[in-house]
Amino acid sequence: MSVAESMLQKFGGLVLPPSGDAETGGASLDPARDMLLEFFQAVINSELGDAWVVATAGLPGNHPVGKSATPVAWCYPDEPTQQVLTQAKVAFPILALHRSGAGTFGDYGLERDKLTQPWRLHYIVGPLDVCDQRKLKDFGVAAAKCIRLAIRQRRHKAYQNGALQFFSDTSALAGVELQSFEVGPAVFTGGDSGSPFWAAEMVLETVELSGWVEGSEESGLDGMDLVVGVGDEHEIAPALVLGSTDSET
Amino acid sequence: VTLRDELLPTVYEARAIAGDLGFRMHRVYLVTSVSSGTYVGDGVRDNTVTEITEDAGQPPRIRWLKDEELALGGGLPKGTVEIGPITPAFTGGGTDLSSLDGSNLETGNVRLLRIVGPTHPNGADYRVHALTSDRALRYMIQALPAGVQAL
Repeated sequence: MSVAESMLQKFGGLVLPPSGDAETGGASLDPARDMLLEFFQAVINSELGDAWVVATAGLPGNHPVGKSATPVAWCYPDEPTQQVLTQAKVAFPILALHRSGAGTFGDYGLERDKLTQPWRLHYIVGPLDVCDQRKLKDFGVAAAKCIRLAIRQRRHKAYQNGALQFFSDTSALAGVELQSFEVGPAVFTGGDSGSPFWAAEMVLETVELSGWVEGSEESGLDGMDLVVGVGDEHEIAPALVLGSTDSET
Repeated sequence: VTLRDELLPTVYEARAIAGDLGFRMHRVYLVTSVSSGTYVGDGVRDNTVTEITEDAGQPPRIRWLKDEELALGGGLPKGTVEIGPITPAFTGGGTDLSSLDGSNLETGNVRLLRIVGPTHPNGADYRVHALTSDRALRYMIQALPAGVQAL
């Protein structure tokens, strides 16, 4: 597909036509996911880093969780299934993010589209015994609270020097909301009798908007007439309010 | 020197006999992948391939589990394969446990098993599902298809 044949539109972080990325291959088609994951990693490592160092100071050097110097040791931009964990060498704690469930398309204004998408964010502290649980399990709760606050601020100093995120015209995502979270021992999807890992699973919802790539022809819409009738259940006065965006008519 | 130390070279040789006779139809390789990018799979993928062998370069026994074994194994998927016995490392041969359990990998590295033979003439990748290392003279691997098969 050449640029000349393209619709020259964008939807969320996807800009048509995508030029491809030798580094990420097809993963570059969803830059919103990678951006969100980096943002959350920066928030957790920044806010909880000092507490993590103190909490893990007494753990043995070969402890699967205590080896990490930061509260996020490894990021994975997909669902952390057992299939993944038996193929790749991972380091705990893991932060993983993926789209989950049905994304819902809708109209946004007259000519723009909106995608409302649920996500799952997994913060997997790792395998913990009863003593480790006392020291480390609350990082899951704290991580969820930090993320909620950072989303409300739409920025964090540890990510892109505090640049504002999640605005419709400047970001891949027009809105992000952390809706709920659950903390406890978890067994990964597809596991049979796998080890329980202490984890927090968070449910997010994002909104992505469509738009036009700068320099494109944009919309074919030249003008719009607005006709509004006003009334109640007994009577309607039609065309009481008239408006037009085209001054020549 | 323990009895185990003395037995390992002997079982290592004995496990190659079937291969010498031509009865080991499949070969198995450890494939370690290192990605150059930020996340697993990003950038250039560099594969290191090492064959798992018994004496004289002969492969260990490789067999696909039967339906009954799959059911008894808690509903293992079709295509589950058992590899071994594999002789543990000793002076002069064997296979080091760290190469099988992945403990010698760096974070983010991927480890798969590639089986080549009549069932997969051009090779197919499997992931380690279970590794049995509690026996003195052998390791056993149970592996599941990883979904990558060359045609």
